[in-house]
Amino acid sequence: MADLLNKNSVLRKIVTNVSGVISLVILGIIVLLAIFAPVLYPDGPFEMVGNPFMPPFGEFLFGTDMLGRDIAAGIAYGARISLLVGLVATFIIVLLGTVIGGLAGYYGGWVDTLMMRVTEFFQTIPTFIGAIVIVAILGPTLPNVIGAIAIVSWAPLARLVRAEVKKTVNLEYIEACIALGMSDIRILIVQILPNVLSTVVVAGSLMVATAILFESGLSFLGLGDPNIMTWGFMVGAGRSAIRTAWWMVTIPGLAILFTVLAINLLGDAFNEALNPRSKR
Amino acid sequence: MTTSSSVLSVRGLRTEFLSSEKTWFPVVNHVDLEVAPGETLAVVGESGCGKSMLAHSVLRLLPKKISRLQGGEVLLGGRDLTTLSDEKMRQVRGNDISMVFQEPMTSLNPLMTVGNQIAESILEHEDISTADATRRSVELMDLVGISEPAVRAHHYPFQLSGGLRQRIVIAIALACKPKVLIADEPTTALDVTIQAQVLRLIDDLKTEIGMGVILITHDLGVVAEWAQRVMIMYAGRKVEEADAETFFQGPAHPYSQALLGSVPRPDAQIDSGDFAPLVEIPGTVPPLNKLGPGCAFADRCAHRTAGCTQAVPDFIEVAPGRGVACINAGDLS
Amino acid sequence: MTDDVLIEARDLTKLHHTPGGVVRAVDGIDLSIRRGETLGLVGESGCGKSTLGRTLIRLHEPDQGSIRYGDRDIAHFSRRELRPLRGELQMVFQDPFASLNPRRSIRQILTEPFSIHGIGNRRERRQIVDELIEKVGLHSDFSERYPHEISGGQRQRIAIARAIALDPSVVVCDEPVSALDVSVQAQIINLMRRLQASSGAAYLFISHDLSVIGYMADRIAVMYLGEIVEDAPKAALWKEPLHPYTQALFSAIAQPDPPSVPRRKRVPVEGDIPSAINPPSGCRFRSRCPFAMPICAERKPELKEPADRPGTHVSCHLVNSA
Repeated sequence: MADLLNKNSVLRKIVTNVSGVISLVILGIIVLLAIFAPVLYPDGPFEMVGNPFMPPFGEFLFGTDMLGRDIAAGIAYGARISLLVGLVATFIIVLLGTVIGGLAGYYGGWVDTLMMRVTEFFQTIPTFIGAIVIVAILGPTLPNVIGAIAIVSWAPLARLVRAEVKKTVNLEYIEACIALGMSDIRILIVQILPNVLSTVVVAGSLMVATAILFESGLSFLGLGDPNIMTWGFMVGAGRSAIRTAWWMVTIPGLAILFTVLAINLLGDAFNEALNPRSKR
Repeated sequence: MTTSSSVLSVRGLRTEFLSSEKTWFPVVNHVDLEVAPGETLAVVGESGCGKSMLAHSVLRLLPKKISRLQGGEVLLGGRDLTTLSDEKMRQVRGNDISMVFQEPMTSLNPLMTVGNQIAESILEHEDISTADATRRSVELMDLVGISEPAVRAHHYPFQLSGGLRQRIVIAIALACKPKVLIADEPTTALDVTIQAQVLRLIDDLKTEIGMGVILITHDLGVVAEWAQRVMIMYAGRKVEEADAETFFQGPAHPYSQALLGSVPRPDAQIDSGDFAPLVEIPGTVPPLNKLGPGCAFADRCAHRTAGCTQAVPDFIEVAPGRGVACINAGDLS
Repeated sequence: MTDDVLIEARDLTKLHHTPGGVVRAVDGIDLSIRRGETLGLVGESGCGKSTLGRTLIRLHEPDQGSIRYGDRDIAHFSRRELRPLRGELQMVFQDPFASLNPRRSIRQILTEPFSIHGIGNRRERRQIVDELIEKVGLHSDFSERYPHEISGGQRQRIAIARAIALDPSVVVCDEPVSALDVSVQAQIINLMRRLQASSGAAYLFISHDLSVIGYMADRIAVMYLGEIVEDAPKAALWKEPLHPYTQALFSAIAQPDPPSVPRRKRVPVEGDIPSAINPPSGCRFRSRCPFAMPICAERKPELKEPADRPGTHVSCHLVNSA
């Protein structure tokens, strides 16, 4: 049985998939980097450790920036923020999207109408500009950035979940459960959710990548938390020195690229592993 | 049945499919059949018996990568269809042999008016003008009993009921007056009153244009009513063949007997007041890729003897068009 | 009405709101089923027979009318009020692929009725489920399998086991054998009759297959476009159907008899079932009826009991005026 609950079979499928393996390796490195950042760079990312504008692969692996800060340290600490933003924002998005989409799809009628109008309202906001406005008003702190990303991103997921739930809710086995007197909550959680989960997992994994990109974009524009080193901030800071010190922009840029690429590949691998049509 | 009077003869046809374990197994196994003009041959069996695969093999509509024709010939008008090129075969389909499928919705193009779809299939095979083809398509719709054909020709499939759609499918199948019509469960998706109308239509047209009909069905009632000859399939093989009268008077194969016995017969039961339990065939149809060495029905057979599991019984023809594949058939009748 | 009537609907009406308009899927239907009795419900697709079955056991809430079950009218019970009754009002669905959740094992599926209603502890439930599986003719080994690992007939046995788990008094069987192979249909029909004989449940047996209905039912109700046009004891209806639609329906039965055996005379019907959104005025069957008269378009015929046919009810001007 290829079920999400049966982790072995899904994991095995991802591990036997080429892009799955590549993505797991890249993500593994980034996670390790994030975890061991304080061990590798006990001085923190803001400490001026050398001369400014030192090229990479010399004294410092990735060189230094205009203030003599170690770029490798920035990458390591930035990885923590990127992963944190990606995971927390996605968690909120999935939670909001599943609850709202689930209730709308299951109950239909006016509940559906109301929730879908609200969803559409959020969908009409241009996502990135919406996030900029929210952060600009509420102030550039990490929780605000995460909140802003979640608020502008949950609507499409809610629609997706609603469509999936609607498809399942009309099946006869749900009617059979109603005929047995099963409660709504139980039907939603035990009967419907497992059927929607694979869609949510795939969409959610791609959402992590989007959230990381959003955060980088906001930081690049100077709307990131000033007390935190992030990849987007590093790209933004290095912009003015791009002709003299290409590595200041390129290295954090590559970090973003590889992370987002790896997450997308993992999402594809999930999709393939969870897709019933690719079973056996 | 003599060969000279047949419009279609199939001899020793064997079709194999590729299993998930990458081994080939037969889904149609050494099947012979003959259809005469103006005659309906019913091919009867349960899901997975190979009756649809037989039809698809004759028309060479099998999925390429996972199936192959492994012997046998399909003779139509002196030509062996199994040896034709794909291009030649395309001309044969629709022109000489047509097929009507079970689900009328999926065999019509939802984005094209039904009139255009009929005209299209005429233009495919005949060198006439578009205006002529359109006129012919309206005539055909009239022929298959659609009222106001000129109006209905402009409708899309979704605007028509299931019964009308199936008539359109039949009109397309008959567009070029084929010599053979293969109808694969043509009325299973239709209501009882409509079912009779559609089968009546096929029957009338069969007599009118003198085509041979292969009616694939699981419904023995439909067979008794509309077919002249019956062929029973089980697990890819022909297990019995007879004319309809002989068959329904007394089938010879234990599977045919059980199949006939398991159908509820309220007429007789209401007369006698005796609603005894129906005859059950125990178990289920075996998967075709996991057949043992003996008779495929042996596991479910009430008359099984030691010999049944030794070898697959030969199909013994006692008279032209009458035969059975059962080693105990002589003792059963 | 005698006291062994288990469930009785009066003037039952259920509307479907569709984009094209309102469909009176079930339109003012009266019916009752006794203990141990099977009421066969026949009709063509779209006539509302499924909706009637689902409304009767309150999977839908009726827009009008009453459903007397026991000494209560459950027509407008809330979900909370219905919950204790759910085990008594059950349903077997047509498609055993769709009626079993593919992600749950047979044991999980069959344990649900007991856990919902708090019956037994974990160990007792295990044993009840094993017994239940054996009761529908399967080996208890099946409990650890998933629906896609067993055949259609076996799946339908599991669906039946779930329906009878809580010893229901009314079971709506919605085309329970039409998705099955011929050789398996007989197994399921026999099983359902055997279970009914031992439990005394009332069955509403919905089918488009008249032979199956003729075998299973004690009484037969014929439905056309949301209404019952004829309701009679089986033998009477089978031998001499009164309503022209019933006549057409029953004359279309294809019996597997030798071609030389004379058949029933076909009563022809024209065309297709009209749109349910905008049914014909007066008698709804008149647009296809070979005997239609002027009055049929003007006045809707009532369901009446002909003097010479006690127990039969028919709604036809031709029959009722004779």
